[in-house]
Amino acid sequence: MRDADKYWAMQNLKRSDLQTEGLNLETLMEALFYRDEFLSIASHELKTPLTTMRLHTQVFKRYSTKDQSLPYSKDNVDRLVNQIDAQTSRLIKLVEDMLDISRIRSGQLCMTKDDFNVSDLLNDVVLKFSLNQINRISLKVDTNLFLWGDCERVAQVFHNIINNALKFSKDLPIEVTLIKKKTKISFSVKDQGHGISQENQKRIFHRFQRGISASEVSGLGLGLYIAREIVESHNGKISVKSCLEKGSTFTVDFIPKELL
Amino acid sequence: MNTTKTILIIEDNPDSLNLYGEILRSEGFNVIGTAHGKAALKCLEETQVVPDLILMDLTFPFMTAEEFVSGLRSIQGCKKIPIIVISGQIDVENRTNALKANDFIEKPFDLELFLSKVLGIVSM
Repeated sequence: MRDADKYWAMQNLKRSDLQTEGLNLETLMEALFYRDEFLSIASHELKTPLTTMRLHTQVFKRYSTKDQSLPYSKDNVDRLVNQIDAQTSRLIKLVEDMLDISRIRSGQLCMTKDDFNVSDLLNDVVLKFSLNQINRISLKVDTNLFLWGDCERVAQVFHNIINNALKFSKDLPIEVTLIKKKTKISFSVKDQGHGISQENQKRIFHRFQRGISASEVSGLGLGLYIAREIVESHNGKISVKSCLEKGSTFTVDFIPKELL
Repeated sequence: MNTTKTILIIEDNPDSLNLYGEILRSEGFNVIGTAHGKAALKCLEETQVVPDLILMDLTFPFMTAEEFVSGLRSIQGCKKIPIIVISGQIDVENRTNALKANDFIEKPFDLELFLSKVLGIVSM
């Protein structure tokens, strides 16, 4: 943490905060720093889709008020409406992620567990990405693998990890695999992105942490934390191996239903 | 409206980039859209187009906003191109001043404000 940030954090700490047994000043200051950084990123991430939606509606309003026809073709209008729809989805995802953090903290991240075909689930998750993104995904899935768990939450894990790999590796291809091993079902995603430093590998599964600067890739830095919580609630394990400038491989190991 | 005016936009969010472009084109401007500073510098060097205004985000991949402006000012004919910063960052005003940009627009903003700031500069 920079000295200026430490000083600022100290000024905002009350002495009574530190009297709680076991609390360490450095830990508290770091927590405050990351919380403030998160709030700054979250506000920026929310403002971008809000701006787009506001401008779209004002463009339509401007021309309807002036009783003029829109200077756009029907195709363009369709595209603009689709953009509003996409921005709405982005806002919903951001809010859902923030609500998940709140649910995790209060122990209310509910799981509705059942027997499900995880091979089919992964294929469905991949198909929901855009055509351009799908073309970058090399998919290898063992068929008819079954898990006991919350299929929607497991789909969220798959989506978060694949989406990260697509974001962090720009236009390069990624490899997604789901294979059965002796005692586990292993899901892995390999990218050719910037890679993550050893130091960052230790903290990326924690709340508000990112493996790469917020200035380079958008997002709240919550996806991997939420993924870890979901995986662990399924008695699974999430891990990363990475090499700077070469790429990263994220692996999630689930216990097959028959071994639970 | 002088339809020959050209505006270069640097914005890594494709939806925002498309939208700013649509609005400005409908006002009669030529628009060049780029996703980051590196692409913008390459475009300026290769095409030798000198835009009348640059609208730029503060964060994009590959280089910082400061590196972009430094690179821009080193290109012949681009030393005085006006810049408007568009950002949702809380320190947008300070960053704008540090970049010696002409003005800033803080997200989320109104269409009227966007157009008035752009027209205010390109009409000067």
